[in-house]
Amino acid sequence: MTDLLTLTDLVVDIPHRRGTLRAIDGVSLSIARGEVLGLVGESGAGKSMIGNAVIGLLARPAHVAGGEIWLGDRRIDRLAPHQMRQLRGRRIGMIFQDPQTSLNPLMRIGDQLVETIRLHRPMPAAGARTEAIRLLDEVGIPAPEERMAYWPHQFSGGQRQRIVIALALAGEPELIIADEPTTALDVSVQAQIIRLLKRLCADRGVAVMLITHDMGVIAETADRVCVLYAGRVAETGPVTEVLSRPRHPYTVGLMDAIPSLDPARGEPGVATLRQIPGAMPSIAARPSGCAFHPRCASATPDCARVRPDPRPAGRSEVACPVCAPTHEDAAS
Amino acid sequence: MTRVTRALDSDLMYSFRRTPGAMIAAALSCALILGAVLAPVIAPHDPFDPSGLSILDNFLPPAWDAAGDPRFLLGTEDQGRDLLSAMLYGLRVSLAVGFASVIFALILGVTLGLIAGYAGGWADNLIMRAADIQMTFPAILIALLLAGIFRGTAAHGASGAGPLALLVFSIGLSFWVQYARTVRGSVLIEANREYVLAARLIGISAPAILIRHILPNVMGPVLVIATINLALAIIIEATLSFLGVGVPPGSPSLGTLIRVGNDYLFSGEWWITLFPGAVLGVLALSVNLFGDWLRDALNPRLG
Amino acid sequence: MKHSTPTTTVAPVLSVEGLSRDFNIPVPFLRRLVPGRPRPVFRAVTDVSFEIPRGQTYALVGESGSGKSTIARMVVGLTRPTAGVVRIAGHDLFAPDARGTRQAMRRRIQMVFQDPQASLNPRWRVEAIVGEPIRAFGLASGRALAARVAGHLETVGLSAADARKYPHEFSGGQRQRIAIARALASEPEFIVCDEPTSALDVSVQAQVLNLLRTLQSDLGLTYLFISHDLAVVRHMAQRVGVLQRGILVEEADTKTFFEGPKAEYSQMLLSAVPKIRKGTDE
Repeated sequence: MTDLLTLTDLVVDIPHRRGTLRAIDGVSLSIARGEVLGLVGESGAGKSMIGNAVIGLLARPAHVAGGEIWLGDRRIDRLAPHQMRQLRGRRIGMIFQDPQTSLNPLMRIGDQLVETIRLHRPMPAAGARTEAIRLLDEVGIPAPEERMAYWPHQFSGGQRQRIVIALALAGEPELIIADEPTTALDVSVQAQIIRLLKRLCADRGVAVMLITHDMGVIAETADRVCVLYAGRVAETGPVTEVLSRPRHPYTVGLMDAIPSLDPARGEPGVATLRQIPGAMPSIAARPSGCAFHPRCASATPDCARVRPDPRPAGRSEVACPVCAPTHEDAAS
Repeated sequence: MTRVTRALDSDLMYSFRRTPGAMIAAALSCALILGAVLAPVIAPHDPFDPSGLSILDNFLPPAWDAAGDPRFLLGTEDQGRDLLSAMLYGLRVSLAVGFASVIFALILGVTLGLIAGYAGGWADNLIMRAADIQMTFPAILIALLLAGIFRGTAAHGASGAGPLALLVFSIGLSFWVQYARTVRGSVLIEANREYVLAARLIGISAPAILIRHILPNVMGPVLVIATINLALAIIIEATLSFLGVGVPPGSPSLGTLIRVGNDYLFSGEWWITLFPGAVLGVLALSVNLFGDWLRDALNPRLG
Repeated sequence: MKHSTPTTTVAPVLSVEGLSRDFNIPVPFLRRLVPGRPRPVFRAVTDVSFEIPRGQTYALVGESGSGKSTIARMVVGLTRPTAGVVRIAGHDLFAPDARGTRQAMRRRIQMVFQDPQASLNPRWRVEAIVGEPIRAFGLASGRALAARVAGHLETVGLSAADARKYPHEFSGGQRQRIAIARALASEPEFIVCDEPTSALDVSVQAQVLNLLRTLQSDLGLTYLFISHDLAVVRHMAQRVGVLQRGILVEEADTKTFFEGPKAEYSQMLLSAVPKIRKGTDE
């Protein structure tokens, strides 16, 4: 079965008066139908930009400069604006980070839902209303029929995010791009939203591209994870494998740097967190060869010259010749 | 990179070089300002020297006209003064009054805005209500009112710095509100930022915080307002002088010249009004256009 | 009901008793004129008490709206409490006669804020930012001041040459280091860290947290560490206090707390933390 979403060597450039910055440098990934892929990376890695590129909302002057984006059997990176508009909401839904600004403060939420539903699935107003109430119920808003007439400011942050999820699902999309959906929420609310998203997508067979910097959210929600570094893919694989037995030195460093509640990983207040020296390079100053080599303890002289391609290792793919050597590396 | 090269290479200069309108506007404004500053040097005649004047030279048309005199390039006015020289000196007065009023309004408005935004409470209320009341009057009406009052109380026929200062005061007082409101809004935002808290934490006094920490961060929009206000100030001064309540007769401005010419407009001596009017229009327009460009260029959200 | 386990008796650097803070809810002017109605008030913090012995880290944990930032501001003297006492090494911070001694006390306290972007004045150079506390307390001037600034920058892992730069030339993690250097500049005993790493990436967070720990052991600092992240708290603190809507519902030493919190709210917070490493390892 073909994957739902396929990115092949995606390149996103940002022209600047001093030159062109390459924000995304040849990223390939795929999401199968009904799968949750976590796109994880630190600030500047380019994860939000990938989400925006897929849905065609890159902020000018950033643009797709190379590679291909396929949704099912249709290529979507070269579509005209009006064609892209038909795609948005109907085949790809989007959830943004800040529930405060995702909802129109001057429209009752019932109206926003009905408008979205009718836009993508033309139906009479009464039918759309019923559907809106059903959606609100599905996302866990109590007393949905009364709440249709409420304004966004009358809901809490967590409830607003639920409504945003309802809006994203209103068009019955095949794929949802969720860009940091829980970052602005409290930890307790975060857990609820994660569970909700997971359940809804499993029930409806909707695939999710979950963009976040929070490994905890990935651990609880995603099936597979793709780790980004400086606009390139470092490691991709099943969540259980990548998080428990990371291979790429960056992923290893990242997992070591996360403080844990697990007593086996150190006494409280005593152990030091292992840190990766240095900082992620800006896209204007990407190191030659492997982008991580200046900070990598296992770097070889080759690492500064040759950019590593992702190669298979276990059930994952890792872009590192040192930790996942192929027979070609051994031969040279 | 030295500071100068860094400034020239900045995004602001880049935008400037790519906007022909801004470059033309800046060039025109600079040319006029330069002309005004160098008036004593470049004016062909000294319009204030009574010995050089001859009443017989009055109402001469511009030099290219048949009845014109090559000594007076743009003609003469009713007293026999060379119009070009009178215009250059008049430009001086117009610009001086314009700049001075803007600076006065800026200092007053920014100070009141800082106090209102940071202190809050009754000081904020007082200043903002005063601003509201003043905003119900058009700027020119206020300037007219104040100028009229000062003129009435001051000694008749006085010339020199006194009445000019009062004029500057009247015009400046009519637009402090814009600065105060803008600065107050910015101060309300900045005062809650953590760098201000960090300063309060170590016991820095409120005036020191306002001047050293907050002021540099709220001055951006003030510059744009000042540039656009300059054009308005020049026009207001010209209007007041036209109405007779502006600069004293001893130092005529462009507005004075326009008024003088107005009396003779329909008897055929068109040049006395036209040339000062044209220069006034070009000055106000170019300053305005420059201010427009500056506002857009400094706006972080565009482009 | 508050659950607490007792501390050992060492002279506390910070002692807070019965701390409360109310905020007036703004009411339309005309309604204020109507007599007989009491002004509505929002109780952000209610009767909070705790102590921090010298050299230790006390963590205050809570979600948004729990009052932890309000407590932080009261503890450093930025906000006056509606009720209760804040004592720094035994001296009342808000005592009415403390005019002259207020400045002396200010020197002993410092704060590191959450947002590295907003906590540094974007128009000031780093040398001015880090030098401000040194000047304010008259600790040095001229070349000696510049030398101290350079020293503090190096202590936090930056270089002396960074003093001439502006904040926007640095990354988030580096800006937070500058903020820490500024906090160290007045040579304080006690630093309030208000969510110092919440706005930072994970790998940068590790660097900053390690730096804070090193500074604590090298300089004998005492920290009040405010956070919503329990894993970070477990890493940094010896003692934990849990705030729920302005009330301290539980207080315990870290080991005991994470082995099994007693208050229901604490248990809920702990269970909501996502478990990262699944599979055979845990």
